[in-house]
Formats: sequence, structure tokens, C-alpha cells
Amino acid sequence: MSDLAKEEKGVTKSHGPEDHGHDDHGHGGHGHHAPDRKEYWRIWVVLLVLTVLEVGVAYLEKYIGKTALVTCLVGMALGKAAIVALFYMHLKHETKWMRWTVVIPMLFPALYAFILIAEGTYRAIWGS
Amino acid sequence: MSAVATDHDHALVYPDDQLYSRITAGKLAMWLFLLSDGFSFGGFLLAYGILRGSSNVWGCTTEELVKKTGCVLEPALGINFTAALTFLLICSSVTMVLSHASMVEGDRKGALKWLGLTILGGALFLVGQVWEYWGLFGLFGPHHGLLHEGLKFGASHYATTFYAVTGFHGLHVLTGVIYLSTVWVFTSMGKTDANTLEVAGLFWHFVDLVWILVFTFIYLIPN
Repeated sequence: MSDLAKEEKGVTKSHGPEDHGHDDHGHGGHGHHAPDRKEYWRIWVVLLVLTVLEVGVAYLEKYIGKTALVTCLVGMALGKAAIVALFYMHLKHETKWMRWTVVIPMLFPALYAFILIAEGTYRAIWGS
Repeated sequence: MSAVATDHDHALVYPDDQLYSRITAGKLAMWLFLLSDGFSFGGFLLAYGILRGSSNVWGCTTEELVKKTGCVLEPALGINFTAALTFLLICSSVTMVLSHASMVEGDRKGALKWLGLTILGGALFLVGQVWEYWGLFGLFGPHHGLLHEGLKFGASHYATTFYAVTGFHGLHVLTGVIYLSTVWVFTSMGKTDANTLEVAGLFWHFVDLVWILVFTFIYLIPN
């Protein structure tokens, strides 16, 4: 497809925020960034590899201890979730404001979880 | 002069907002919905964590535990099978994003092909979940389902939270399959654009994203 035809379809070349008229605009909405199929397949491979690693780590409980195991598993899961949001949900190409609009509210469940874990740990160590 | 700006395809051209650029109303609405849905899943997973963290026995899955605590034996959750379901959802995510890519490039046939594969992946995931719960009446091997093996809703926090969380996610997959099937029909009629597929894709990728977390917390973290 020619560049002119792509422009007519609403496809714009993916370029950095500095190329835009404003400070930090990405390409949300109808100004679709040009899809990068190779990147999509690379992300697919990364997700598969991380999934295989996760399953492998889950069988290593006897060897690496539960705290390390849970940390590894949760870290990989959060990494995979972030990759899906950034590349497949196109957050990477959204504006900074759009990214924060999504990320900040999602930090609250994580904060609650942290408080609960801290409280549980406190009770386990020093009693109720 | 028309008050509403349109592009060559007569699609709405959104104003270049200083903070959010040209994001469409549909896309922003889907993101806001997904945030609220994310809170629902967050609530489920927090409740799961609280119940799991405060229980002495999580999953009475060995004879040793039965003898030690007097609990009723429950089946362990299968990691390998659910890993295959995870693989399926990851594959359906890449096909979804390729469907959107095809539409952006003006290739409607390609978009339909990839979208069809996405729907197939979602449908197979649902079949897998039904097999996990009920065993599909003995089809596909000797497995008769977790319900048959003694994992009863309400019998323990382990069982109840398992069905609550995976069932809620399964409902999302079902909704996604219906949603994407509808989009497929409208796309085949030429009534959709790349934005329609991107908005639908946001929902589908969210379902995949949540499963990544559910798979880790429910299945992978050992008792």
C-alpha cells in the first residue's frame, strides 16, 4: 500500500512524541500508528517463553523456597500483563496522560494487596 | 460547512486534544469500562488472597493433610492443562492484534481471517474450562471434571474462590466470544472500521491480561 493510500486509511507512521505538535502526544484514536507485525510476533514469543518459565518455576518449590518462588511468579505475571497492555493494547502509543489514567487507578488494588501482606506478615511475626 | 469533521471514509475525525490526542469516544469508554472491570477482578483476587492467607489448610489435596487435619479430600488443580489454555489465550491475543493491523492496512479479508481465529481460540478456551469443571461427559480422556472429583462450590474457601474467580473470568471469555462474533459479522458486511476492531481488541486483550494473573495466583503459587 502506498503512503498516500495509508494516509487516506488513517494510518500514520509511528514516530516519537517529539514529532507531534504537542509535548507528549501519541497516536490514540483514529490516527492509528502503523502496525508492526514483527513486533507483535516478537511479543508473542516473549509471552510464550515467560509462560514456559512460569510453569517451570512452579515445579521448583522444593529447591528455591516459597518466598523466592512467589516473588518470581508474581514478577513474571506482572511483567507479562504489562507487556500485553503496552504492546497489544497499544498503551505504548497512547499519550502520557492516557497511560497514567490507566496505570494510577490500577495501583490502588496493588497498594491494598501490599498493606494486607504487610499486616499479615506483622501478625505472623509479632502475633495478633 | 458541516459542524462535524470527517475524513475521506466519512469517519468522525476527533479533535486533537492537548492531553489525550485523537482518542475516540468508544476507545476511551472501553478503557474506563476496563478500569472498572479491573477493580472487580482486583476485589476478587484480594478476597482470594485474604482467605488464602488466613487459612490453615489451603486445598486439602493430600491424604497426609486429611489424616493430619481431618479435612475432606479435594482434587489438586492441573497446571499443565491450564498452561495449555494460557497458550491458547496468548495465541488469540496475537491473532486479535493482527486482525486490527489488517484492518488498519485496509485488508478486510485478512482482518476477518485473524478475527475468526481469535474467536476460535476463545471458544476452545471455553471448551477447555468446561472440560476442567465437568469433564465433558468422559470425552477426551478419563477426566470427569473437578466437580465430579470433589471440588464443590461452598465446600471450602479453596473451592469457592476457585469457581468464583475462574467462573467470572470464563464469563468474560464468553462475552468476548459473543462480542467478537458480532464484530466479525458486521466486519463481513463492511460496517466496521479499524477503530471498531481496536476497541473490541482492548476487551479481548484485557481478558488475556487478567487470565495471566489468575493463572499465576490460582494455579501456579503452590499451597
